[in-house]
Amino acid sequence: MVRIARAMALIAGLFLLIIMSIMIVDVVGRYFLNAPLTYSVELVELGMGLFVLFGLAETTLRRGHISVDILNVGIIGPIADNAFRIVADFAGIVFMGVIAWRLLLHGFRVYDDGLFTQVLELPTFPVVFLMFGAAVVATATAAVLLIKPNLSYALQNQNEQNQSTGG
Amino acid sequence: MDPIFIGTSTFLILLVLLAMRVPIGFAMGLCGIGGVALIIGPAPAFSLFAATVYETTVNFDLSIIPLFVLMGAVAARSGLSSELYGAFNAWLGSFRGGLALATIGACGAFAAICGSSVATAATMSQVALPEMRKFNYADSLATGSVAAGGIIGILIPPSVVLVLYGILTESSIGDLFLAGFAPGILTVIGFMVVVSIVTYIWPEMGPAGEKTSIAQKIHALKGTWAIITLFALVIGGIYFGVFTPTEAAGVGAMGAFGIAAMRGRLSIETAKEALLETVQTSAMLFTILIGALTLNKLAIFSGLAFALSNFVSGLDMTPLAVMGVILIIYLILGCILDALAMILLTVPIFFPIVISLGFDPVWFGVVVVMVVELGLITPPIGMNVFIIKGMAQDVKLSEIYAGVIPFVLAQIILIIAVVLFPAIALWLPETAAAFR
Repeated sequence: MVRIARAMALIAGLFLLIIMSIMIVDVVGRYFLNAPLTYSVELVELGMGLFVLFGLAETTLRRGHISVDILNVGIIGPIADNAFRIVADFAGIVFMGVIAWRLLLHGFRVYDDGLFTQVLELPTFPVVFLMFGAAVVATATAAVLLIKPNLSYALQNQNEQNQSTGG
Repeated sequence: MDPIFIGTSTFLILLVLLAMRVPIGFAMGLCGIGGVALIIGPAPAFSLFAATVYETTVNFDLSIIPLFVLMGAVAARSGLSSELYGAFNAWLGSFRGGLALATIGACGAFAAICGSSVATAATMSQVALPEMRKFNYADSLATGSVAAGGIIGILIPPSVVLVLYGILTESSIGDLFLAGFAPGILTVIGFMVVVSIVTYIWPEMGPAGEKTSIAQKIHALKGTWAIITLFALVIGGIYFGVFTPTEAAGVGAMGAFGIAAMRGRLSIETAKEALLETVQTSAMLFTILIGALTLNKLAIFSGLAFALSNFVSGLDMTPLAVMGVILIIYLILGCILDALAMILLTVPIFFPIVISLGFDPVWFGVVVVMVVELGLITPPIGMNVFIIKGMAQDVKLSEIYAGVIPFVLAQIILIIAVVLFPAIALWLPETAAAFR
């Protein structure tokens, strides 16, 4: 799970680099070559959908979603602390699960309607199904964390060590 | 059930969930779906949520968020912070409290290519703290100036928080950026004045450094041209309407890669690190954004936002007094809530009120951000202070907070100035309109 999430995050990073490049080519093309990319908007749109969803699993795994931590373990004690964690992880499963479910329905609809992008006329359903797949992985990640909470703490420590050694 | 009752109780449940440390995005999203489902039925509520998810992610304009985050992440790894600090030090170091002055200045300059306060504080403290401690600066002044300098990062464009405000309120992000510029510069100046006053009263807190020659001063500027160019390109491009803020973010991110490469700081490893950081930050931001937009719908469907603004406009208070109350609420909330969470939670509720009272949406965005910034350095929860504490473990938290107090006072004075004289924020976007 750790490896899958990391691989997906790296793919998301690649999507972002592609988005950046498309934008640069578009701006340069428009001003210097008088040839803007007419399809830059739709490519960036689809890329963004993939970028956000592919980063979700890694963010969840490393507990990158910010929360209000006024009530910490020092105030509420370890039992309530654990109960809070379970509630929070469960909320993550439900939230991302709903996203996955709705993306699946949306994918079917897009497929049935035969929806294409405006300029390049690319079919959009593969992108929506990929987004659905990424959401499923993210939900699964949240479920793994519910059962194995120590996984993310181990990752966090490893992160901090990397940072302190790598500067 | 009465929609207003549903709305109110859902917001109360949301507060309970947040207190239980449910991530902000999840909590807002789930409460939003639940509340809307109770009002218009589950099927339309889920469809509405699906549309929000799809429209927020598959979106051209919102690529501005990851691109600006990437720009900051790459800039932070480019080693520019130490050169900026060196440049400001060459010019200001010989004054009393010179290193603290240089810290504030360098934070302001770094903010011009980085859209996050926490990142600014973390990056600058690595350079500035060791230096100030080497020259026997008082811990309170050293840590206080880095923590306070960091909050400039949120206001000087590009600013991720202003982007989110713009998306939530459908205000122009370009105008918001331009409007944040002058108040940001004023913050830099104000904080420098604070350092001067503090070291005037207690000279031993920040001894003056050695004088530098004119040649040294000019030589120190060498490293700063890259930042100036990139900032001019990004913000100048927005000002003159050469490209949209979204495209500016793409250009900025590419520019940051270019600067890092030219300085020999761009390896596959650093690029990977910067990208992974961006991916995680963006996934977090988009989750919160989806949650906030969903909750926004509840505020509208339940009639809560409407009822609240009706209630406030029915009060026998001048608009300025209402604004005062809102800002005081922000100040109090800022002490316990994260800046981002605070904006996303409260803006959907306060924004309609503020607009119905006739205030300018762009101006309100800048004021809100200025108030929220304060929350980053006020006890008990000040993100920037915690970061500095992490970097200087032996300094007591109370000492950092003590060092921050004069800056907090300065910031409050600045906020009052921008509230009373909206032109401070609004003149730049107004002049830019001529070019579009």
